[in-house]
Amino acid sequence: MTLRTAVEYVAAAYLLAWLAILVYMLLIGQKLQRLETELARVEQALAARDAASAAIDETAASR
Amino acid sequence: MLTVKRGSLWVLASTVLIPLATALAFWWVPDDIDQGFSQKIFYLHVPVALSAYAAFAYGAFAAAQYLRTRDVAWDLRSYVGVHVGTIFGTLVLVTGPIWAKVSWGVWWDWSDKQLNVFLILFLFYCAYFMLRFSLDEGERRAAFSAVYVLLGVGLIPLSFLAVRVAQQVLHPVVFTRSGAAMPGSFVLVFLIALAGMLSLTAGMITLELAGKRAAIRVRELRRRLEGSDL
Repeated sequence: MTLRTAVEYVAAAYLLAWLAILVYMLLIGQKLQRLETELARVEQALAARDAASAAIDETAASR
Repeated sequence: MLTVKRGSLWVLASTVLIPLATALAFWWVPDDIDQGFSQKIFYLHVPVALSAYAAFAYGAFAAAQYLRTRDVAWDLRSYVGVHVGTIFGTLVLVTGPIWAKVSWGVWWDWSDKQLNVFLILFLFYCAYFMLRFSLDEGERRAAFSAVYVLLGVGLIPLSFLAVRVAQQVLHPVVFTRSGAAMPGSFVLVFLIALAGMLSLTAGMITLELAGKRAAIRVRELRRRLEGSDL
């Protein structure tokens, strides 16, 4: 096998592996970001619901 | 989010170590006398393979911990270990045949025991996902998965030893009981590449775990939110 062919094969191995790892890291980064946003949104919705029900309870108690 | 930070630190370490090892492999380490330039794949393929073994071993350790404690956190860790191990296993099966083609002239050699044992190990862990996702979430699934992972981990030492007990050796044996059968510069670059790849493995496991935990938390909170609306 010539040096040129060997270089091509070695480059292909490195590029494929790096590309796969890069794509995986981008995907996991996106997933984490999406989950973080979703978590904040759901926590906010729960807090709003708890505050609303606490306010209702307070009004009922004052009557 | 402390876990994400820790995972990011591992990944950051790997982004320094892996390019450094690659640069040294290409521009500092001399070409191998036998294999020539194609031996440079060694600094990628072997660390990736060892990382796959490490991730599978981590998965097995977590599986054993699950069976001992019945804590679902260990089941999740075991699943993530196998998941990351399978990703590295895929990379081994991509880079290995490329190296085989350039060194031996064939993409795969069915008479090479280490290749075959690794393929069996990989397929065994691929089947893990079929087992896991065919069962309903709960203690039964976790227990079955843990036992399966522990059965598979026995293939790791077998894969490692296969090349040493093989009679017809194509696969080179580099690390023997008497030490590394290669020059010091080769060993140094290999160790840097291995450290980088293991850092990446630790980072991937940590980030995957953080993602899975966040997904579970979101699901729980959504359930609470929806439950209150009923």
